[in-house]
Amino acid sequence: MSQRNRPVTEEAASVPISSMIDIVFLLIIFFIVTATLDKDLQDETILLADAPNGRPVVKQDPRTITINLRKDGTMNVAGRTVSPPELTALLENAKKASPGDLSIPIVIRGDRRVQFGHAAELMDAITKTGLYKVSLTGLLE
Amino acid sequence: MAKKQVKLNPPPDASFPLSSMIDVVFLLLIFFLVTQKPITEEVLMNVDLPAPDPTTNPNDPLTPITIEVVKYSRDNADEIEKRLASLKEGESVKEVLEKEEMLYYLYNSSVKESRDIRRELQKFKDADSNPTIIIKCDANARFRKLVRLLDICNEYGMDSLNLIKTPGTRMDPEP
Repeated sequence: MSQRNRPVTEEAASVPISSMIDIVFLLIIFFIVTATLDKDLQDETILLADAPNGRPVVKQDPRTITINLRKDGTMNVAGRTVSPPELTALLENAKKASPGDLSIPIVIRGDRRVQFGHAAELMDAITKTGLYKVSLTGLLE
Repeated sequence: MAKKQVKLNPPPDASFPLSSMIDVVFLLLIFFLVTQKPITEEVLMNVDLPAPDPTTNPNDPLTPITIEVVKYSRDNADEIEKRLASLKEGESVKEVLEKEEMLYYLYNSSVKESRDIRRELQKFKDADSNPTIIIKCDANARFRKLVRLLDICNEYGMDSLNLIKTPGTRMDPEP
């Protein structure tokens, strides 16, 4: 068979976009999932102190109460600013939810620039409720 | 008889209009890429708070270590300078305090820097001992100084840390 008789096939000039769209959708799903995670718990204005030897958070207790302590000493829980008495009431409610158990974990995300006196007020409020499992947050890097 | 040739309409285009969808998808992707937070790993440091029982004595003789985070202020400047002068011969007190961000540690009532604290804790680690450490923190001390101290304790495996505010200290107004 001669070369001349072979049918010439034209290659498509289009870019194969179906696989590209798959990847793009996967990326979007990834960003959507990671962007909404714990967004309401963490205050982005807080600069944490470095703690290269801290214990990484492996599995967090679902009852954990995260308290953000800003540079000016104001506290907020789940995006709402609270005063020390309000915080005590909030912790008392958490205690009622699990009666007899004082091991509800409390995480304090304190700004590196805040005076310790503000943190002490916060800790006094925690101590009044009898809860004792307190952790301070630092940054690994 | 000649067959009547039926003229069929061309079939409608079955392709999906992808180009506009891709535009939207890329816009979404760029939005999430730009607004994504940098990945930072947070770590925890456990501390014990004083019990609500007022009879608990933080100066319990069974407690071997007390570390204080102290703020340098005009009120106790003379006392601090005396202590530092005896510790750091030939070195300016001001330099030492400024280097330590105007804060320093008191380890069992003697002035120490963080490297000295490390040396002391290393002794306990070598002896495979895990003593209770009481940390008294000045109300004016910055939080990062406390976190640094807790981090040093964690580094040497000390996990029995009690945190209290130095009695009698008050917060100065923010500069």
